[in-house]
Amino acid sequence: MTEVPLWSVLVLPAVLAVITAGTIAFDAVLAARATGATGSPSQTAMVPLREVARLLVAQRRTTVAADGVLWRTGVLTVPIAALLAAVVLPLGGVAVADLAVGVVWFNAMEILTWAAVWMAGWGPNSAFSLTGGYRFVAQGLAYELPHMFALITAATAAGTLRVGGIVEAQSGLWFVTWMPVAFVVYLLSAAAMAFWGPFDAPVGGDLAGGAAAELSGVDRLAFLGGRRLLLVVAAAMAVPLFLGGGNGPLLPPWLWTLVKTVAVLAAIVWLARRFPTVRMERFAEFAWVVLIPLTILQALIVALVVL
Amino acid sequence: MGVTGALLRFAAGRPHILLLEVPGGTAERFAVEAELRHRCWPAAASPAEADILVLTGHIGAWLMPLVGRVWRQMPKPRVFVHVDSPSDVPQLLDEGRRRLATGGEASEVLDGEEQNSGESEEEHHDDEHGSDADRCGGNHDDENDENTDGGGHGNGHGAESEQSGGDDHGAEDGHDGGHDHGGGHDHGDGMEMPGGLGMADRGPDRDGLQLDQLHVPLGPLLPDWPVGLVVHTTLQGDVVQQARVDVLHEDGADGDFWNEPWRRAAAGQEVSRGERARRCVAAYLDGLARLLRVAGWLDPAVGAGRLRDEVLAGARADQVTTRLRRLVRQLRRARTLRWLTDGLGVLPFDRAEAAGIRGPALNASRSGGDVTARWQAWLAEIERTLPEVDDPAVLPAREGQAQGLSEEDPASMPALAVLPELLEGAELAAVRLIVASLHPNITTLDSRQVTGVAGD
Repeated sequence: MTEVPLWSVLVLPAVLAVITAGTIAFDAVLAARATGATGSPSQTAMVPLREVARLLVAQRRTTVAADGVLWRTGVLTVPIAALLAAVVLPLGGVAVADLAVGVVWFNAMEILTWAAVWMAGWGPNSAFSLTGGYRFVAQGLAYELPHMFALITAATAAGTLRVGGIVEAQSGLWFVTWMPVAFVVYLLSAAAMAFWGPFDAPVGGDLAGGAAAELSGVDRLAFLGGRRLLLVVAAAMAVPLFLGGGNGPLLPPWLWTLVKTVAVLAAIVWLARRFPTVRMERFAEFAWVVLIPLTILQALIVALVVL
Repeated sequence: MGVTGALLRFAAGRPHILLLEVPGGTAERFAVEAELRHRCWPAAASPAEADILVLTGHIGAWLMPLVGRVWRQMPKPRVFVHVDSPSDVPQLLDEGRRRLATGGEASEVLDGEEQNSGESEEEHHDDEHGSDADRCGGNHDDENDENTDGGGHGNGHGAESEQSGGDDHGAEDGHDGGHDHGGGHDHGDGMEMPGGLGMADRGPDRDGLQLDQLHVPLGPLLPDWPVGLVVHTTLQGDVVQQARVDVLHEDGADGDFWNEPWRRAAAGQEVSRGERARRCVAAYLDGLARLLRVAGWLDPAVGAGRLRDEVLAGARADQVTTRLRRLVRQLRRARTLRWLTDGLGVLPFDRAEAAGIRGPALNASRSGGDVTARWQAWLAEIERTLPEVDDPAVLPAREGQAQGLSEEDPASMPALAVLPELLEGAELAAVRLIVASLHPNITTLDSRQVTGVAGD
């Protein structure tokens, strides 16, 4: 394990914030294209900043008989979990903490959002909000097992749970080439864990915003900003797990990492708009009957190859 | 103030709009939707998300308290815009943004007055219910801006649970009190409850478990929801155990937007067949746009909305046919959408016929009768009707009388008669899809057009 430079602690949130803002702007571009309006590029670049400003000046609301502690804890846990999950992300060869159990750490932090969204949904004492929170728990039951098998597949191939070690194991051949099922399932679960479209039922418009229905002001900023951060982190994790991390010709490793991350994110954000919201009552069956056997099979093949 | 003022101005550049339609506001809603598309202003899903509340239609006395409720759930800075005429929309939105940039509500005393009349009326109702006032009515209803009850009524997030008996007094109060209180305030028997709210009652659910029952009204002020419709639900988890359908009337509101050509024909004016066909195509496109938004598929919903506006604005068939066919093809090929709507809200043919349902919804019940069949029947109907939009032949007045003018009670409309049985046992997401697929299209006069007209 290399010595971790102190600056990485400061650089990580800054880089993540910039990519998150870029994600929002890209999504706004796609939305504008659908409406046929021709927004100027400078206006589109302003969208994330305007959103932040809007939520900073807006009043925080509360509801009658709300469970304030649970509610705010849930709301704050989303960005915190996303940031904690990000500490194992290697930018080039440098991660804030290249833990020996990095993959497990990432998984554990990402599962914190189950509790977070549920608490954020329960807190305001509102039927739609509560339903949104429960939807996310159901979603977790559907996506998590295939997701864990996908993670395990990459770790098995590398023979380590250390994210840096997984990147080193791909210096020859990227994992995506011989474990495509795990990669695709990972991308699905990246969208699902950040309850991004088409897995956005927990904050769906049919529930007036679901778990986010009662949130305004900085609470909304923390919750929905944290959600986008989580999407960025989950997409970024696909790079060291399956896309060879910083490996690549010509460009320095850190730049390769960024380029690949942005490409994965763009694909997720673009694909999200191509599908209607998937309800767990339908998807859970698909996840358990199709995805779990497929990912187990994938893990088995990888295990046999490694042996 | 300098920094805050600058932030306010900057943030007001892209406000989130909560667009609500009440009876008589269909044309205005289209104008607002078109303008929002043009400006790339996002639609808000709930009052908490909204900066500007845009209401289209006629606001009557019964509606004021509900609007007030939604209004008080919005975080400051906030602005209220009432659209009376489609041509005013750009100016009104500009004006709304300007007020938002200068701090919203604080600078709009007059609107505050207007809102306050709603509030005082609401408090008056609270007092009628006696003991409510000291526990919850007074203290969370007004200026301290706490959310009353998730504003239940208004937009469907009935926040609190309520004793199951409480629902009753909503039903008997008529529209005002009913919708004010239908899922409303506490009915705890003098016991001190958290926030002054009653505890939920329990009842056996479909799996034989004892689960809390919540009484949550859906509508009438809910985005992407049929105008004037209220569905009083008893929820366990997110499953609707009981549903009761109600329609809000508004005296003095204009007739239904959708059956306007028939009404004009019946009144002896010259109305072309093309005009009638335009209304039909637009009605199904509007239904599709709403269904797609509820299903969480925004891009094709926007496409359907644009086509609807062009057809209504008088675009020739050849100007829209290509894009319309592309949309229809995209939806027919959408396996995910089919997978998500298959088997929801199955309406058997016998039942549909007995209830008096006609048009595409009846055709759909011949081929499965689920939500998928219904939106596919709309697609077929759009394709069938589109070539007629340029037909200049005059519509016979007799047809207008048959279709357009009907004095029957909107609450007895066929789609509403079958709604409760379709909704019971469905999950909330399915409820939204079923309601959107039946498109009851409620307004004051008659809304048989959507279920009936195209069947002629």
